[in-house]
Amino acid sequence: MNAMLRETESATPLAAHGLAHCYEGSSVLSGVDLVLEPGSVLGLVGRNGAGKSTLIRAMLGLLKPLTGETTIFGEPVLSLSDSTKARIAYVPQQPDALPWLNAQQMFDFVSRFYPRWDKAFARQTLERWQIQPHKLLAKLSPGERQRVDLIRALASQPELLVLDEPAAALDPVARRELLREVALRAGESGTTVLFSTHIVSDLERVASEVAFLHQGHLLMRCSVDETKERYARLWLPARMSAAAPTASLSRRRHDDGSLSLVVERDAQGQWPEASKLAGARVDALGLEDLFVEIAE
Amino acid sequence: MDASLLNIQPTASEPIYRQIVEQLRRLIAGGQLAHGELLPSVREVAGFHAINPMTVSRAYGIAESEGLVERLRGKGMAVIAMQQTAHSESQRLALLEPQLQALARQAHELELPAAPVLRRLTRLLGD
Amino acid sequence: MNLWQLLHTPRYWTHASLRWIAVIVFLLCTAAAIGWSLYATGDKAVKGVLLFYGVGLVYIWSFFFSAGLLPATDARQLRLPGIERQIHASLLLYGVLSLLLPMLIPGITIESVGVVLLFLVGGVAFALMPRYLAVLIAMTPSLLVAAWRRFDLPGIADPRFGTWAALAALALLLVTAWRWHRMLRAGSRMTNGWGSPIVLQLRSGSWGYWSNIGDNSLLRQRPDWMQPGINLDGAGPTLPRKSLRVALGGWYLPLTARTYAGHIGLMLLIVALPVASTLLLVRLRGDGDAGSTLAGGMIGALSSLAVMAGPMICIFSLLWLGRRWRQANAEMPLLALLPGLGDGVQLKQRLLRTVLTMPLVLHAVAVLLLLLVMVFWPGDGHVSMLSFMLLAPLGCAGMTAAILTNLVGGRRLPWLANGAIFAVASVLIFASLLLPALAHGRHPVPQVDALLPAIPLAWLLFTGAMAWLWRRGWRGLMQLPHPFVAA
Repeated sequence: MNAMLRETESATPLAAHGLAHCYEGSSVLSGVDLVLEPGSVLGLVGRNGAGKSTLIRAMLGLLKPLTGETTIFGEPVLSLSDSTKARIAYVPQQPDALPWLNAQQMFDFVSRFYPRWDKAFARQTLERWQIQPHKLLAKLSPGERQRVDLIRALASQPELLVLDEPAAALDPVARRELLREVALRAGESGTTVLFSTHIVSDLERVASEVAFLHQGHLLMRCSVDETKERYARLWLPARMSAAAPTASLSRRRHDDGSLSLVVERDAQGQWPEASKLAGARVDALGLEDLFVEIAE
Repeated sequence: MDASLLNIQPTASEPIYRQIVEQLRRLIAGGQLAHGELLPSVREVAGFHAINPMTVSRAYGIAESEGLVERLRGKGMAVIAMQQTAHSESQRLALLEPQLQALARQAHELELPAAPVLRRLTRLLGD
Repeated sequence: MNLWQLLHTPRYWTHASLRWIAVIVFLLCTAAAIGWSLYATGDKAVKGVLLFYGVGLVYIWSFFFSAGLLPATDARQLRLPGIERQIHASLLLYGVLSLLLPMLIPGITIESVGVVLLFLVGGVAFALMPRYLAVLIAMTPSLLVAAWRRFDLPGIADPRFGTWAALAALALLLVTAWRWHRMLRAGSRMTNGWGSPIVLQLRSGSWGYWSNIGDNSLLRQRPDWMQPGINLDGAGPTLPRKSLRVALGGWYLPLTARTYAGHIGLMLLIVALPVASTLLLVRLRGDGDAGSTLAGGMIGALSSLAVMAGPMICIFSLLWLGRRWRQANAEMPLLALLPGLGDGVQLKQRLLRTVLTMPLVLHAVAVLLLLLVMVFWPGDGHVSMLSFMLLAPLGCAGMTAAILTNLVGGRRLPWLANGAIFAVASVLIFASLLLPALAHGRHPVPQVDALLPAIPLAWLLFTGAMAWLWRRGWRGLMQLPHPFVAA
């Protein structure tokens, strides 16, 4: 039983349990559990300051959380072996590493450490994205810097790709290209991708699952398709607010007394009773609307 | 068929795989896709629209199970277009299902009884 | 524009820290001047008072009052002539006050005004002059002193100096005022290159140049041909130390042979300039001894460099590494996830060794320079005096090792502790320089002789404290799960 467990654990790209962390006296993460399935693309959504970066860094062993532990491919994340490190790639927000090298030198240097480095991909992508390979990294714009670091991560052919706000500094064309690349990799090579963002529309394209992080708590975790099918906004006029269902993800009362609730389909796939009343309205929710409703 | 024929709206309230299936259904029913025409590969569609390939393959799987397309070994997915006349009335009615449901829902929200709506609808259809 | 307003205008010119430091330095120097006037008599008294006060004046005028140029240019650009006038009036007021203040000290007469004015204007000029000129001047003080003695120019207390100084001060005042006016006009078009004045540095941060260490602004400004050629040969899993050096950046970077040659060439050039100018002066003057002047100047420069280098090396390393190590998006995550650097204790040892090597090598160079000075110092009996000076770079090496080890070990010291350590080290260095010179130098002061044994004892205690600190850092490093974990 143990051996079987261990084997399944070693295939799990990332498994975090009970992560909690404090920063300058205030709690940044509390009791976060997260497990990634191989080949899935998980989008981590949260407001600025919700703790996305801290969560990612804690899960990669870049900081020591107050409590909780994470394993990557079965190994505890604070003592990863070299072979496991070669299967991971991480791109921080606004990368600023090795600014005294140019892109060519940086790729040259990093490629020596990763056995599966794809040199041709790195060169071609630099050309395609029109980044000068012999310009010092410090002299590149933030968007170009981000793209160089993304190429660095992708060229090492990782099995687990972790991106912290990868699209923040990119223009829409560059963003689309990044999503394309990530999507194709996930689909074809079975790369597991975790990326955090607050641009929700990107998630809807590429992510297979989404997790909402709000004030350090993991509010919700489900597949992207499910969020559109399982949740909806129920609007009840003022005179019917008494009939509002008690179980709802969020509840808001408007100035004229009407109620907006985010409700969930029950086990039989039915909306709550109140939706069948005359005058009630059920609106489908996009991911962004869902997030705004929950995070407010 | 070209991947650009599909129109994907990621922010719409309908999941992407459902959009693909619906569009395939409409393209086939409308005759824009001939019988035996090959669908673009999963990679092509995913690459063009920058969406997850698993979404595309899920849509193709559903389309296959509904009999819209079939998998040809070594070639990919091919359209099965049935003759117009072979479409049973119930199948054609199924195509109108989303619009009918929307109509019913809106009527409900406007707190309209069924009778005047049906009268108007009959008059429109009668023309 | 009342008096109160004028007195308060400079409050907002710079950051609080810079302002306080300037004020404190000025007060210390004035206190020293007052103290000197009470204890010393006659000629030496006036000389000492003027010197101490002058140093304080130079500091406060070059690092604080000159910063008034920045709000003045801003006010001019914003078309607010009232503010511009207020700033200039305030400067005038403080200038007059600075001139009149030493009059309160008994023994200073109106003739010294010229000297004081020279110091004042010198301070402003230093802040406004192009950077390359300032660097040149900063490198030649001992040379100037040697030339001074050689050419038998009048001493500070000499009345002839008063008139000479007043004339020089007025000339310098005209030049400085013209430069001020030029820069006021230029406004934001002043570039940040070598031709720009020091005063612009104050705009970018409380410490100007110092706050820029570790971020990329210097890298961005340097033209491509000046960038060091980095040598990546063989850096990889087979040579983990070299890979760490590439990742640490700064002066740890392995450079190509061509770049090293370039650096050596540059250093020779920097040394050659003052040497050539002295030789030229001596040749023009016609009389004698180029050799001894040169030797005197060189020896003075080398010894002051070797001693001052100690704390500078420590501060530089601390700022550089501290900045890079603190950023969550810099080299830390890269290094933490880079396969092939090693594991566990081995990696930590390797990292520590790489981090400490370069600064300790630089300290060793400083010690070597001092040894050279000791060997070549003309005259005899000075070996004992210089051996006290030798304690300075040795002690500083210990300080650097301790502070850096704590940084790498995740037990970064709070800046107050760092400041205290630097303060103690500076006092010890100053004592090591001054007391032996007083005891055995040109005019020996007998009381100081008794204090001399305290110096090596103090250094020993200091080194003991540093050793304890180092162990604290080492223990912290061993306790970390891996050395690149964020603090």
